[in-house]
Amino acid sequence: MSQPLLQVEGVEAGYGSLRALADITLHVDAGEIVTLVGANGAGKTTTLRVVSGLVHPTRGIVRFAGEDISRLPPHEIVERGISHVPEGRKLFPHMTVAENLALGAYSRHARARMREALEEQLATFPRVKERLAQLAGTLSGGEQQMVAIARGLMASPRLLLLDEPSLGLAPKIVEEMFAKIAEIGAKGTTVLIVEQNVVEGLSISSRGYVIENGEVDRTLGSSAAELLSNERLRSAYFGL
Amino acid sequence: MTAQAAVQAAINGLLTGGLYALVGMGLALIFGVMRIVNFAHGAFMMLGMYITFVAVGATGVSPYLMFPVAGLVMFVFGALVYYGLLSRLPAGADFMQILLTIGLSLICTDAVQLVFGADYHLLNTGLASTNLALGYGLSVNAPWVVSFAIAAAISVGLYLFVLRTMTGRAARAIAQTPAAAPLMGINVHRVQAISFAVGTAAAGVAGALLLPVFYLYPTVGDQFTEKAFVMVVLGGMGSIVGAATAGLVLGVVESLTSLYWGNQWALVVDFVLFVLVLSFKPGGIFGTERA
Repeated sequence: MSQPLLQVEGVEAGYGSLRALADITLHVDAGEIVTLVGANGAGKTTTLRVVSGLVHPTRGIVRFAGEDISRLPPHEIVERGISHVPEGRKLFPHMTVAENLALGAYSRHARARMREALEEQLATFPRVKERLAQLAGTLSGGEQQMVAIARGLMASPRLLLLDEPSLGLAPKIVEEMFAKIAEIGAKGTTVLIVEQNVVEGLSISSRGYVIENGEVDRTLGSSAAELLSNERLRSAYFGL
Repeated sequence: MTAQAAVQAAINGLLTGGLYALVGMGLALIFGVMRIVNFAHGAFMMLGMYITFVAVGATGVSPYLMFPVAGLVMFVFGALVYYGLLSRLPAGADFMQILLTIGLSLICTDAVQLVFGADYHLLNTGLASTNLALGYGLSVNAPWVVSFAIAAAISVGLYLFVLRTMTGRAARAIAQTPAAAPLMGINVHRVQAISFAVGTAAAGVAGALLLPVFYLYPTVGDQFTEKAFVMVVLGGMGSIVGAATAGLVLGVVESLTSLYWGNQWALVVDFVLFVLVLSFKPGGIFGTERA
């Protein structure tokens, strides 16, 4: 069996004296879409922050394409091919959409193919194309999320981390958003999503993990279809 | 007072304003864009003056050829100040930045006073008595014109750095959304160090260009720190073009104030303008947040 693209092994991490992650073990294979599911404060966002280097683990290891990246600063992790689209979009509000996208390709390897990456993103997100000259802070929530994902993809990543891409969006836009994410995955980018809309998230994923109190629930399998049909999960998270 | 005298004062003010603009743009980058409250900006300008003074004294080369030396030395100095001191403060610790940079300003001023004494110096470039006639009885003093021209060229460069280069963009990105900047692959400390160094170098170059036309003494920078803050606020926080425009306006306003009301009123008018803008138009009168 070939090694997974991303491998998180026994990771413990926190902020000061607060321990957010107790024991996270998961993996993402190349070409997969994987969703992290769990209650608020369970540690989903912190898991993404550990992968992108914003938080360093106090125990455990994060491997990307076989390399230990647990101690690297965020900008070097971007350089290796991981792009993190943070919760709440976090665009640069006083810059144009075009400038936001250009900043997405800041890292050395991305700068070299900035033009092709931009063409790809504008093809995937035609609405973003219409807004290139507009200040990012003036866009609607849905448009901002599209720009945030496009900006993340400008880094030409091998692994895209999406934190709550549907947060605060109208249901119709949410649907559109997940169709785009599925399309991005189909084009060959590996995606790891944290998502409150559990059903939508798992529907486009091959696998998922349930995180509770900073740990991956090991009693559950990781196949998305199994998780979707699990009775306990259906009542706990899906409200079905 | 004739109209001719007023026009002459306005022209002189514009030439002074060109140098103000360069000082103000440096602070617009450091304070306006990067949000580092730097009360040592005038002291950095003063260091640029003394570096040029020493370099000219040692080599006999014209100060107009020595400004790159002042710029380069102050660039390195700025990078050291950022890495050695400012980057160690916790993020958003404005008050600590104020104390640190005021302390740094005092150290620079006192160190210079220890080495060079408190005496006033004036560098004679040989151009000082050359005036260029403009017609209608108006004229401009040659050293001011040369300093203005170089300052204008460097101002354009500074503008392009902030708005067109990836490093300038990254500096603005860090200021606007600090949480997202590292996720773009931006090495935050490196970009901040370069930007701080560029702003410091701008102050140093302004000092070098001021040397042929201004008295040199250890506390010469103090009034420029104050004026630079006035320019950044008048121009609108974060606006490089706004700060430059404010520099030109300040030069002209001061010159006309001196002509009609006397020299002692010039600074008063600066600060009345400052207080009025802060009270009634806190976003600044020129430019926008963006550029």
